[in-house]
Amino acid sequence: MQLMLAAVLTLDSAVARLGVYADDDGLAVWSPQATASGDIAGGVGAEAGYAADVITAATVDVRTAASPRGYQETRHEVHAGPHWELRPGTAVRATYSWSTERDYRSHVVSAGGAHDLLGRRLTLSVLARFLADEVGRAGEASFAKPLRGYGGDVGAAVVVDRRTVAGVTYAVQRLDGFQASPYRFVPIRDGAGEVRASLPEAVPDGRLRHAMSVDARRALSSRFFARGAYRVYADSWGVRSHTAEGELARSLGGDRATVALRARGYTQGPADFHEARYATWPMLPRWRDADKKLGRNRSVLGGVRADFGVGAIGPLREVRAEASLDVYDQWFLDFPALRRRRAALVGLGWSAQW
Amino acid sequence: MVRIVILVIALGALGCAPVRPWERGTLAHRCMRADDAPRVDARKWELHVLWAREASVGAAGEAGGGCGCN
Repeated sequence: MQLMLAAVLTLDSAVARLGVYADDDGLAVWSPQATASGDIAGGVGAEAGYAADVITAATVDVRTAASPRGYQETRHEVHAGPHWELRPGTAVRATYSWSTERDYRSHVVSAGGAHDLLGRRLTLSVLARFLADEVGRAGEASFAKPLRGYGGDVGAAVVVDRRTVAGVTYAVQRLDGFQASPYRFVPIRDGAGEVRASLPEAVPDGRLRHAMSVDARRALSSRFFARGAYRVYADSWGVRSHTAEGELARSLGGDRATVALRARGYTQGPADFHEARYATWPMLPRWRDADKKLGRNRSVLGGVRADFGVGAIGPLREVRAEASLDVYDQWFLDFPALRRRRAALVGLGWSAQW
Repeated sequence: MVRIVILVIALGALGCAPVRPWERGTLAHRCMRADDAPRVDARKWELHVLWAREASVGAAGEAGGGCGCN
């Protein structure tokens, strides 16, 4: 049975989730999100969704720069867009996303498509994105700095054999505009280590980012499935990173449920202009930052994920529940104010198909 | 970088074996699908979390803010 919305859209699936991030640096983020998609007619459909981030923060950045007592705020995001299956094996889609919070507004437009080749053994995809953001500063209405982004990605997914699929994606993005924090100040020291000035962060307006990733999935048997992925990244600020991921899943109860273990490792080099301490007085560095994520850092993430098919409920043809728990451990190798951060990520969700 | 992508795609296409429609049952399992909706949403949230903590996440574009990183 299908649910008709305004006699135009036939709803066919919906997902509702709650994600919670909490770390030992005083930050907690609760993120509810909901997405629904449906068909309109003639292979045309649409998707729309809402997400929020409810943030409670008293992190080291906040304590030292913005507000000693921390802050609370909420970000709201909505997105919507059509998708169209032009013919079997060829589809296009577009999405508009808008998000707002006290000191940040963002508009993102994306459009792209995918095309199957070689008897559906090869799928090529392309996606273009444009973003127009406005960075503000809480309590200062006149502070408004633009940030523009242009980019996209191209990808290919290959059916290697009856039990293996693999994919490769290349992504590029050009950012122009304000990319510093409006709250962080950088201490400038003399040769003896005395702080002689404290200046607002200043980083280059332009940034060209490249990333390439490969991903493979293999059915080890009728019950066990493995996934591996690797990503390499480089940008014009000098940041380089490598990310490796692995997952092993087991289906249970005649495919009714799945349990998976996964792990992720990340290593990143610093931006060219990043220094743990700027001891340049009386010279003032043109570019300076107090951003720990622009310094050398490493992280590992690992956890467990499970989903369970509840079955049919009323008009819903299939309902599934999912839950995940991950721990995240990050080391900052040149940020004296915070050497290590540990966090927990919890996810709970429901999905339904009509 | 683009040449590497083209090379990988070409090698992948040449290397893939014919898989008949009736042999695709395993490939249709949700653990083998990159477009399984609940996992896509979970993945988007995870990337949003990591984007605020790692400088290289999100090269393909992310809606800004909401990170508790300011």
